[in-house]
Amino acid sequence: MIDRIEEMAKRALAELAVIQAENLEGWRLKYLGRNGELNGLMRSIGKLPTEDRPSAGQAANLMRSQLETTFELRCAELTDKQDQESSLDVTMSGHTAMLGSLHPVTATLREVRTIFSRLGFRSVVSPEVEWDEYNFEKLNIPQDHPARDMWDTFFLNSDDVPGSMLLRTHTSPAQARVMEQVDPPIRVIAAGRCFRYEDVDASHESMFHQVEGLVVDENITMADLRGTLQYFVRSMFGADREVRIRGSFFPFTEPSCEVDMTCLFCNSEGCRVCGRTGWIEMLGAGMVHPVVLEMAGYDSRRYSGFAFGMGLDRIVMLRHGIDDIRHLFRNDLRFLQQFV
Amino acid sequence: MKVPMIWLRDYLNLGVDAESIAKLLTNAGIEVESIDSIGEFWSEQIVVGKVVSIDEHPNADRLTLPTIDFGSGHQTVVTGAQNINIGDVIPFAMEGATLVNAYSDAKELTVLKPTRLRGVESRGMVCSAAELGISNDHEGILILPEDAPVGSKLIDYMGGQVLDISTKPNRSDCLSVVGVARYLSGLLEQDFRMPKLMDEIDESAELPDLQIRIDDPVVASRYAVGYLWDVKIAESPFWMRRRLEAAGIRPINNIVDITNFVMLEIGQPLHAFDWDKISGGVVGVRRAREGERITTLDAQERELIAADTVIFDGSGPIAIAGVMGGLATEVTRTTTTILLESANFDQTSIRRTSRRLGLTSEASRRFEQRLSPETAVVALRRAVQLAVEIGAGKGVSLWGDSYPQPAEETTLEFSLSEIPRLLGVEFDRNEVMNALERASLNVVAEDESTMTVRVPHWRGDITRDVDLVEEVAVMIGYDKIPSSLPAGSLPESIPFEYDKRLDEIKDLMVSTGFYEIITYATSSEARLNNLLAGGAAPDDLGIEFADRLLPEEIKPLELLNPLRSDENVLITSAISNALETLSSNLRFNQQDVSLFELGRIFLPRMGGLPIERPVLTAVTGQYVSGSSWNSIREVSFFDFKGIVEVVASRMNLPALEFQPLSHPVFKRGQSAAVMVNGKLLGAVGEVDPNVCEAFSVNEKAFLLSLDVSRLLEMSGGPRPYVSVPRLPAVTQDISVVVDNDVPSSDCVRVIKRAGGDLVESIKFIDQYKGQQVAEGKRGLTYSIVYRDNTKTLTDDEVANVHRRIVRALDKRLNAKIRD
Ligand SMILES: [Zn+2]
Repeated sequence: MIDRIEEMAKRALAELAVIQAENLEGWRLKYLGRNGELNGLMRSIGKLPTEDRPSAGQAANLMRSQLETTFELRCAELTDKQDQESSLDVTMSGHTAMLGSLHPVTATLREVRTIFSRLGFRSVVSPEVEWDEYNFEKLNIPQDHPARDMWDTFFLNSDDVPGSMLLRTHTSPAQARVMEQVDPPIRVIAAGRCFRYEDVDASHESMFHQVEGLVVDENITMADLRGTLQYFVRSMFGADREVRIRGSFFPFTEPSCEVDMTCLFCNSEGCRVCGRTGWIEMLGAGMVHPVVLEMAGYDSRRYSGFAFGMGLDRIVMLRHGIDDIRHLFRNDLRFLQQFV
Repeated sequence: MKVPMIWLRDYLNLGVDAESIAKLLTNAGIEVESIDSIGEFWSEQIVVGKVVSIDEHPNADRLTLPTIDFGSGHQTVVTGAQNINIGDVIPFAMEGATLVNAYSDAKELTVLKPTRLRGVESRGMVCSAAELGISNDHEGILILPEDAPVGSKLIDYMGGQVLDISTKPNRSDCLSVVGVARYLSGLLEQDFRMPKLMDEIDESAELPDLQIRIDDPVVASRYAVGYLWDVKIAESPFWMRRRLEAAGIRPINNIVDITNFVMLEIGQPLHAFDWDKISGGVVGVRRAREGERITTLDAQERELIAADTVIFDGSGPIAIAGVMGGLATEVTRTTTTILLESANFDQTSIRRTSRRLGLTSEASRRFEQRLSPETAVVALRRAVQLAVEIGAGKGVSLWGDSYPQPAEETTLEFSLSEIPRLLGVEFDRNEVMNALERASLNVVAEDESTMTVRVPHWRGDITRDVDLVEEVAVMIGYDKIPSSLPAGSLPESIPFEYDKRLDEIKDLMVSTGFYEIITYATSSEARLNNLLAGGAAPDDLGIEFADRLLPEEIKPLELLNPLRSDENVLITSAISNALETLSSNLRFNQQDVSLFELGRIFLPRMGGLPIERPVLTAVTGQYVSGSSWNSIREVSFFDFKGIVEVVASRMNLPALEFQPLSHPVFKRGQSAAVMVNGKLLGAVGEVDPNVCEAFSVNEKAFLLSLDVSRLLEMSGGPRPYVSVPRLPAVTQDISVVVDNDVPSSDCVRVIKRAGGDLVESIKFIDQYKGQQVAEGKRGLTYSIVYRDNTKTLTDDEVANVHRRIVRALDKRLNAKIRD
């Protein structure tokens, strides 16, 4: 009997040694299953003489545990091998999603719009080709005013039209257009391309983007101007930015101011970007000039307002550390692909 | 304007350094752009020296050997300068000193080394103003005043800092040293000292007869003159030259220097005429006569127009007012009597004339600003004072004066409540009063709620109470203004956020793999005409299309003053910019170029501003990358059509129709017009090969161009919900063979009509052309989904309707079922 058990075990182990993963279960049923060979032998032990039963039972039990142990080891071995064969090299590149990107100017403008929309500003659009009247006169810049030198202007052939057409030099005409269309309260931003007749270099483009802001209502103050722009600067560039306002002149605002923020790059120590001053010029602003309000038909004693105009391209350059404005409109994919 | 610190100190005690002054002025709106240093590079090796002897050079006639006492010793050097004499005090540079190389164009700095000149050693150098970097004057050695302390460092004696101030157009008073000093005195709360002025009237003087005339009060509000006699033209004194040079003006002679000095100091340009050359005993101002001629100081004969203003005497025009004097009355070395003009001209006339003639100067720049007529006389009194003081001659400051309508003194009443209303902060009454006084705005009356303020004549920019609010804010300091957010209700009057809709389109384009570009609004007609290189005569559809997206038949708006000749019109199509950008990127060896722009084109309109139509333009080359590694695939018409469909779907447009397109930009048979409700929305397809070539694109290119204003106009609102079907659908494919010229859209229409309500959707699956169908025919396969929303369809019902469809296809389109 014991010989039969050993013979079976020898056969079973030999089979197990060369078995393929998919045959493991078959092997288990054949030898260790309920109706397997080992159980068959166990059952036949009961037919042995009483004195032979203990030794045969012991040998059978020993054999069961040996087969079970070997089976489990073999299972683990084969599963491992299988895993190894089907595992990936996860360091290879991912498949590139077919995504393009927004131009960094658009992406930055969205951020600007989002910040102002939290303060209740709506976004409006305004023409890029303007009448002299909107670009200058309605902004308190009459013909031949020396202040016109502040804006070098591209003029358009206006032979067929009753007025002087130009490419807007700033987004401020949007102020006059909005005030012409609606009554206070007003809280808008108007962004877009502007054009200046000036030579192109690393920091000047003949085409650039501005964001104009206008708030008109009763009780609007310069403190509101300061607070609004401080909120903007800190939302855009970080809560630790300080904002200062200083005197300036624009014909369409009074009082006028320049708004600076502490330099991002040197923590106000002074560096190349901020011209060693520790401050970065952000924008020009001021309280809407009463003449401008009056030209829009508003009562300048009842209503007051503030307006600001900022260079969007410069904000893009500051955000991404771009050192030359000319990159923005060359549309080189090697540049654009950096903003996916 | 350059304001030397040393000059400012003539009028007030500064007490703080240049950096602090710069900060103070900048914060007050008088922006200091930079602080320049005179003698920044002067080292201790440059000292004040005295010429103690001059010997002849043994080998050269043009060279001499002066011996210089430099305090701690003597040194003999070689010089070519002819203007030094024994006893002169001069700047002396010793070995190792840094100087400007005045002979080079770059004017770079060099270190002085011992040298031999024609056999004589020279270890040091006597210096010109150019070598010291003070001016470009290299004609002779700079002669210092006799009392300059020999042996002291030159930097201590005459170095200094200069504020470079950029004056805003409202503050013409700060185009002068006195103006800056006066304003600064308010900011610093220091006393301001006005320079010494000659009395207006000198009863003792015997003056020639003179008649002053203003023939047209529009062109000049004041014409005042002073008189100088016993004039001796000479060099002006060191202190005057030093201030002029520091301010960037080259000294010429005492009379010219005085006029320049007073212009910089007081802000009023002056002009000196040689009185002996003036005829008729009359001087006046009038408009020029059309075609009148005058030879100006630069010896050019100039033709005048009626918009110019001239100064005239008995003989005719003797100067172009405010712009340039005439040659005939020029002050020369032999001049002994001078008529000194100080006038107030019409800003606009000066501005136009100086622009027209290209003659802008420090003087014309000031005349273009608002000058106070009162300043005219102040400047004459100062000039005559200086002339007497420096011994240039004797003089009378107000010889003649025509001032038809003297300016009235401005007083403004100002309500104190305007300060909190506009600034959002309340200031103490005394604080306000003090701020106004510091800005030279004297409070002449006040009550509980108002102050009445007298505006000084030089602050013509202050015309309304709001200007006073600004002065108060600046003097007290903008940093005192707190931060708050606007209160009040939010406006509801601007309902439509246009650019948000554009954002949706942009996002969609980005998600389909396109990169956004931003191109210029300008181009040239020649560049736009590259789009017509295809040349095919457009059919009816093409012509309508041309109105909108092509330059053809549309004359673009021209710039009057383009920066470059190939950027001289506004674009009437965005396609050329897109193809140019595609081309340049392909040149950079980019394989996968997918670009889009959502920009504006400018379509001229009679009698008004151009229509600025927003257009979506997208372009690719022949290939784009797939999403797996190293996969590049060819672009097809259907890629672009798919994009149009996705955009239309996102904007919830009515059904699109694609019709074959004949148009110069697009390749015939490979492009389509996109129609919505019978209106043209745009075009899509492959670019005509000739157009590609015109843009140097050496492969196929694909393009779409959509009229975004129409897209927005036709865009539906939020989509209504359609209930999700509860009953099962049956899907059956159908393959038919049709003639090639039967469009797929006809098959779809027939299927839909024949199938009626039971056909839920029809999806195009495949096209087959090849051996299994006859020549001139193709197979088309559709997958039809049948569904009845009221009950489950039986097999018989589906078979019935399918048969009906098969019959209809056969009958209407001669489409045979393909097995
Ligand atoms: Zn910095």
